[in-house]
Amino acid sequence: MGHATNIITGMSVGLESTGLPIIVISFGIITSYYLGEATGIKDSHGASIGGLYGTAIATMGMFASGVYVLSMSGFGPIADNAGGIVEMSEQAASVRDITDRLDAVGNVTKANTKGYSVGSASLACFLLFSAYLDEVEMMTG
Amino acid sequence: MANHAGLDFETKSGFILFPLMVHCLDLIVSTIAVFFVQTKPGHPLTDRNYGEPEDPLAVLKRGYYVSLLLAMVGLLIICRWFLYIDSLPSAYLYFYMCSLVGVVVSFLFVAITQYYTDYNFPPVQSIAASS
Repeated sequence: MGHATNIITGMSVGLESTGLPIIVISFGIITSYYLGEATGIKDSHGASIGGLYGTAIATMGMFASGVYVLSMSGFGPIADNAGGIVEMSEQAASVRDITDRLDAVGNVTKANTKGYSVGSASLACFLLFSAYLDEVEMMTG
Repeated sequence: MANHAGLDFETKSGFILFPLMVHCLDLIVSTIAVFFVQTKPGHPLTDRNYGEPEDPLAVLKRGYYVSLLLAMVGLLIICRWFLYIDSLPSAYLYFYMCSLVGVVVSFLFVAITQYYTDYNFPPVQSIAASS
């Protein structure tokens, strides 16, 4: 149809794609917080204080296969460059078909890492804020 | 937290060293998983009975699943080792469930990203259809 409809649909899909990750992160934080509380670690006043450490461990659990995801993203630029070289050196169409396919996968793995790092950062952010509040509380008494 | 809970020194240091151990586990697990990234032997253009070439993403994700499984096992060991509290014997199981939540979240992230960026799924196809 044209460029305008392409841009509009791409924009709408891009905005829509943030919804599910937000739900997943909220689910992760809430579940790990309550599981942390359920450990039964209590302070001297008898209040449960395990929740925050629970979210910290959830972040760690997310990192438990992080290196693999990062190395998967290294695949993206390599396949991309291979596609570029094949195009520049005017190879046969059958070669181009293969690199196109690899290129598509490279884009998926590249996007994977972005979502992954943002997700783990937002889990860690939650901890950072509470650590900050703790520090302020210590100073103001 | 460990200070407020009045835990002894050994337990506290376990809580502090836990993230370091998780990253060590991460390195080992991912190294093992990389060896599972293999295609079928042979060459699709020269071998007659090679069949369809595999989807490259499926090959990569096979390694990812291996790393997730190994990470789940490794996390249980590390949780038992570092997060065991004498007065609360079941606490480490809850902490293990917390880390499983993290593993599930990371898996869901990968799945969601694939859904929105792979051309086999409706979002990308709808963009292509509209242009």
